[in-house]
Amino acid sequence: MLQLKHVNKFYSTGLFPKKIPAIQDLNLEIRKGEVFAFLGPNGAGKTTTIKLILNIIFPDSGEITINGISNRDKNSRRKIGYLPDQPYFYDYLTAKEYLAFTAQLYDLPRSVYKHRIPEVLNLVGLKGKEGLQLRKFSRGMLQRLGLAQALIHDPELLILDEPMTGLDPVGRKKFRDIILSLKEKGKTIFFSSHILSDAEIISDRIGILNKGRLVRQAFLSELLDIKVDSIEITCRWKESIPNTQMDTTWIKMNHDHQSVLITKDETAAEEAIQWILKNRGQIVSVTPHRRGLEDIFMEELEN
Amino acid sequence: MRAAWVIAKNTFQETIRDRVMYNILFFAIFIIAISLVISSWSLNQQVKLVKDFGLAAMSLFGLLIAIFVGIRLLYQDMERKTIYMLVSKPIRRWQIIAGKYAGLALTVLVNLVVMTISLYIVDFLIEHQLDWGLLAGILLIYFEILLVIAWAFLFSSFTSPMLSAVLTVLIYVAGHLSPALKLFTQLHPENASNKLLLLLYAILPNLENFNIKTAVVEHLSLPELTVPSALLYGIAYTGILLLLTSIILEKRNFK
Repeated sequence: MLQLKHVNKFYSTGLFPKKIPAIQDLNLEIRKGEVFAFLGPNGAGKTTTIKLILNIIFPDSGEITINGISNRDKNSRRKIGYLPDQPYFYDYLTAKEYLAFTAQLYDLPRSVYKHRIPEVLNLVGLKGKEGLQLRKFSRGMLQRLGLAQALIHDPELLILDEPMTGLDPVGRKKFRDIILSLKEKGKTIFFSSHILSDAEIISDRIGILNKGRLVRQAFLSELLDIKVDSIEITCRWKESIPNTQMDTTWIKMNHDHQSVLITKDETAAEEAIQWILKNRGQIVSVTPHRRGLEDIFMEELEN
Repeated sequence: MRAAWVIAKNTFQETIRDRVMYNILFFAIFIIAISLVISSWSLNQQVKLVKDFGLAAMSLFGLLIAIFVGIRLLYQDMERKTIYMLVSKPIRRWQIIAGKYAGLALTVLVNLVVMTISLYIVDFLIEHQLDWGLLAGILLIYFEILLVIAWAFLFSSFTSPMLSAVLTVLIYVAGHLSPALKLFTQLHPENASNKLLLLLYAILPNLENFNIKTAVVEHLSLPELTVPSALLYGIAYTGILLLLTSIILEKRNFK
């Protein structure tokens, strides 16, 4: 769907221009129907990459294709919906006027966008605001309008740059739900973020960018499945807590007729469960503690 | 071309809602209206004075619109990054230039129509008839403004609004003085720097081509092809400037 091959981008600054690498040898392939989270700290090059994909800036070398068409060709952008990191809209227009303007740039006939505008406004929770000038919109409302304009032509690929920024918790939840519903409809979503909890919930695959280099690319399920940090077992005793020997590596917390054991891996957990059952205990819960995306992210950056 | 037309409509909407443009327009109408009072102080020259005043006001305020609105139009899009929302769409960058230019050209046309109506009202109050001959002069003023806007677009595609404004005014002044360069080379054929002066003459616009104000006010006869050749010159020159602006924008990385 979207492919970046050996993309390099440099910036020149100062009186005697010195080339500073912004993106270095970036190779990326986004597959149809997946949600890809493009993660990285501020200044890692996420927005630069998105600007390169959308032909807002040009790479110094490398190739970018969308559905096999070079991104220099205007037709490659026909099926893309783009939400920038900041709302850049003509604030003298009303929401309806802006969406009509965007729809016309995508060549949508009036008969289509006339119905589509209320549909997308409703989807992003801006129903009833169509006649309001954008200069009167709050930051969160502009962000939602940004998503509405990105969806106006029912694109196959959505490119969202920091979509959760500026949204309150309710707005973020709503935004996540919209993305998940689009995913269900088979849309491909490429989004950049530094809010890892959101990425963890909605993405299939992640890429971690640091100092312009892609340092990690993996399926979220693989990444999180492998890394089991500990397993927490809660059990209840019918009588008092048994005095029999317990493995000392199991961290033990006793309270009343209940114990919480924490084991470091699956093998130890199995042993602990056997021990509980042998001592006539009742298993209440077994919870694996995986390392979160945040831990993996920090580890990659430190490496 | 549909994208360019969509952008043109949007630009027209943007400029027509611009307060700066309204200030310029109201001031122009005020000047045209006040010429009615000023002309009454003259002896037997009342009609001529009103027309001179009116045409000069159109020329000057058209230039002000070119500078204050034209320069801001493109620069603001880049500064406020609204251009991201255009270049990320399935359109070519030259269509953005063509659309913005056409939108502003339409706004200037509406302004000139309003100013023309004001001038004709004042003229009718004095002459009790309408001098349709003025329309040729106004048409060329329009084309002159269009050419100056094209320069403003070119400058604002690579430099700051302040510098663009200064350069556009310089071009306007130089454009009215450029025929003197050619005249100088004809009067001094032995001059060593003549080639350079002729090159400069070829590059700078000859805005005097559009200046037939005295002829239309005084009802002087003009050579037959004066108006069509000025129009052709304006279209060709403006076309080249817009092409250059498009080439600059095609290659530009938007930060």
